[in-house]
Amino acid sequence: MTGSRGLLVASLTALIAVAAVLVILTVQARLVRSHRDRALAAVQGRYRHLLLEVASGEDEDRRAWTELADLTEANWRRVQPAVVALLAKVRGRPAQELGALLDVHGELVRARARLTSGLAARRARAAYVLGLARDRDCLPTLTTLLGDASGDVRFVAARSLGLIGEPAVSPALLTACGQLPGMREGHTGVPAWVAAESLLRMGAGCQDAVAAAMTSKDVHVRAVAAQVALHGSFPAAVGPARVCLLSETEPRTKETLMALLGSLGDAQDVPVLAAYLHPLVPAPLRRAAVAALGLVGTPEAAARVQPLLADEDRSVATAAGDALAVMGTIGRDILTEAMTATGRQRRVAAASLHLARLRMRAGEAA
Amino acid sequence: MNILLEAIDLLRTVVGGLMRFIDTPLLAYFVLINSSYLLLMILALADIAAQRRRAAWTDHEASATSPLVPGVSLVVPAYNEEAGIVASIESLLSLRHPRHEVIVVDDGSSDGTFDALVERFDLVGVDREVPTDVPVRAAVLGLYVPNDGRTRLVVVRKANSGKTEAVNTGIKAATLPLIAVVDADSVLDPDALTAVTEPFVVDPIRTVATGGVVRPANGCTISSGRVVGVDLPRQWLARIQVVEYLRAFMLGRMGSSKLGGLILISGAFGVFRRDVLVEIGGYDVECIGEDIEVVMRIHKLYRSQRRDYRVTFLADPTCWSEVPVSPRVLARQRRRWHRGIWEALWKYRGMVAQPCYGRLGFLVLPWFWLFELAAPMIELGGLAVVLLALALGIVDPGYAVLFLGVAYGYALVVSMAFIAVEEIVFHRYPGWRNLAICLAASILENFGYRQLTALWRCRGAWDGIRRAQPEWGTMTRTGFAAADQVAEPPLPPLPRTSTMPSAPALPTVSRRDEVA
Repeated sequence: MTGSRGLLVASLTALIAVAAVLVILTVQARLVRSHRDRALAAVQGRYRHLLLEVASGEDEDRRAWTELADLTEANWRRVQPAVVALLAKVRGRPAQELGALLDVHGELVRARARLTSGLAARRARAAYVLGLARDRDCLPTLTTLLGDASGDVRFVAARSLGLIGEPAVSPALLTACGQLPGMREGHTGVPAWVAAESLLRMGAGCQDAVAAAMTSKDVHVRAVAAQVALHGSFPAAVGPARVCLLSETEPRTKETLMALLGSLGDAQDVPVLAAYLHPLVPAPLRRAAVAALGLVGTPEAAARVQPLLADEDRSVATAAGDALAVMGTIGRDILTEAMTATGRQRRVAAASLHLARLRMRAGEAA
Repeated sequence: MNILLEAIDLLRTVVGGLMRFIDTPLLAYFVLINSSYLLLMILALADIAAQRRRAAWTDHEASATSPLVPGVSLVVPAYNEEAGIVASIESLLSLRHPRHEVIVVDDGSSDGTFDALVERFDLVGVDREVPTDVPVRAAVLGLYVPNDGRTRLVVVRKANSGKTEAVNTGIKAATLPLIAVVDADSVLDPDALTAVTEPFVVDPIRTVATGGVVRPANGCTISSGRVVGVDLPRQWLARIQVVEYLRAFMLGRMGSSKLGGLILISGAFGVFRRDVLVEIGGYDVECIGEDIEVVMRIHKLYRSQRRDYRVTFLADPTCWSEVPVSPRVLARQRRRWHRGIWEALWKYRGMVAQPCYGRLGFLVLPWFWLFELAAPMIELGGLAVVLLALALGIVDPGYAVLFLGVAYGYALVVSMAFIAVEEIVFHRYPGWRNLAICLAASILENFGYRQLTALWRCRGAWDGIRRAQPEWGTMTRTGFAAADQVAEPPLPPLPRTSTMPSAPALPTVSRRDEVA
């Protein structure tokens, strides 16, 4: 027991020491943060009106810009984070002005040099600044960084490419959405969201690459391509979507493709979408097909949806009612007629019409 | 007299033997459990650092309006929440998210919960059937929407049958791809919904569920359903829970998530894919700990089918919820929580050490059995033996103090490490006073609070083992409609088009439990 007592005393002493260190660390963290925040606020406060003038585009005589360009290096270092934060929020001329401010203080030159730094955090920060400054000169390097070993760097490179908005890099960006060489199963190079947002920023110029990516072997690439085609309303993607819908294995990508055909397709898509209305098809896909047919909005689509008002699956019946309600006169006539019937379809139709009337009154629906 | 002396001698022999047998293993157990918490914290830190870095490079304005973000149906089960339901729903409706709807499931309230909603939102009945894709026994009595046609609110009225069935009813009525279950007495940060759904857009194919942080709302200033001032509670019981939530419910879960073994997403703030919840048949109404059970069932389904998936915990999106301030209510809560853990772990005991469940089967579940379920029994048992040995004069007081000092001292160091992380990374509690209170609470926690909660947890496990009738209770709520709240004028009434009769008065068959 004497031995264990000694051990206990030593342990307790060590624990008290660690507890004391933790308290000191906690207090120090708060002191440092308070001091830093105060210092930053003091300097940024002094130049805030100048920054806001530049960022709001009201600095017509460039007086504010010149004053900021003439800052000493010490003051610039404190103002720089505020410039970068503002740059992330503005577009057009104010963004150009703030970018020029970074340039005049040598930030862009430094950032270009740091793109090849050995430290991932440095590469990422550099890519971020260059993206915000819409620096087109660094496009090739940023594209290379899509295959960087660091996930953070790939993330920032993808986002920066989107900010620069050059559609020529879209194939590389789409490839990076998938599993890159050497990666574990299921892991992707760039998060789907970042890639999709960046591709949407590139506009219609990337629609051919998006259409081509819809046939990719990588399920993650196909998912991003389908989302971008849908939300970007890319007509070039409709043809591949028709082909891919039949072979797609991932259920949610299939739903996206249906929504794409619903919003951009036409009467020829009705039979394809109607094939998914079969009772043996999983309910989420049936509902997606019903919603897509509602968006197609042709009389044939309405005729395919009408029988589903009496579907055994209430969620499909409800979706059918709502789809008919958004079809305009054709759909509403069917719903009105269904209200004279008996059973479930009468109830579904009544509820859908009721909700449609409420929405119409609110000016939301057709 | 002789018999008594012989009995004491026998007791001394037994306790002495027990003490010799358990003192090293008991200390080792304390070291292991606290070291595992530290390890989880380190894992959590790695993840938090990555999340923070990326957050700095993310355009949050764009995420709050992006069409790529999937819609979320916020399911709010409500039972006798008249005091705060309107403020709570207004707060949820005004969250920053591109597409969300609020589905309130009035679980047969006997107070004015429903009337308050009708009055504020000018509800009208819609004769719509609720889908049947999730089984619910209780009858749906009516479905109501705001008469203005644009407020994305649905109120489902049903016969009283408990929170779990209310949530399942909400899942059935939901129309958007994601389901967020939020307690009616909770307040979300304005960006919390966007943040907690982020993994669904970052990794849309694999992400099936996410959870956010729950922090005690006691002491905070709440105006118009928003937390506008963060402060610590006035009661020490609630203050200690702040430290406890930090250690166990935030960084602990974050670490488990990093390991790929998050098995508990708080019932107060979790987001699930609707199709996944439908596929597993919704929440289990038979299980007291429905929140842990549902996540376990998802793990079991996906792992056994070898499907690639992710359950993620995020440290930034925050939900503020009232915590109990009376020992009686706290006791009931902890008994219920621990019983829930016992039931879920027992139900899925077959997953332990099974190769197809990977880290979950070999690391996370054994950890839960050993350090979560058994911890209160071992802690109380050990404490009892040490105290008995002390009383019988087997160990000298100095040794006993040292022994307990090391055991609880390590726990204290762990709590302080978590407070340090909170201060360095999140710093949600401003002011030196709050920091001092947090540190003091982490010390005080070891004098009575830990032992009492261990006792309540033991009773919870025992209730679960003997399948006792669950003891429901109520928690007195202050409601979030604070005096400083500026009530918005009611929307102008429009002519009603519904012919649906008002719902009948509902019978109450059980009382609902409290909190988080």
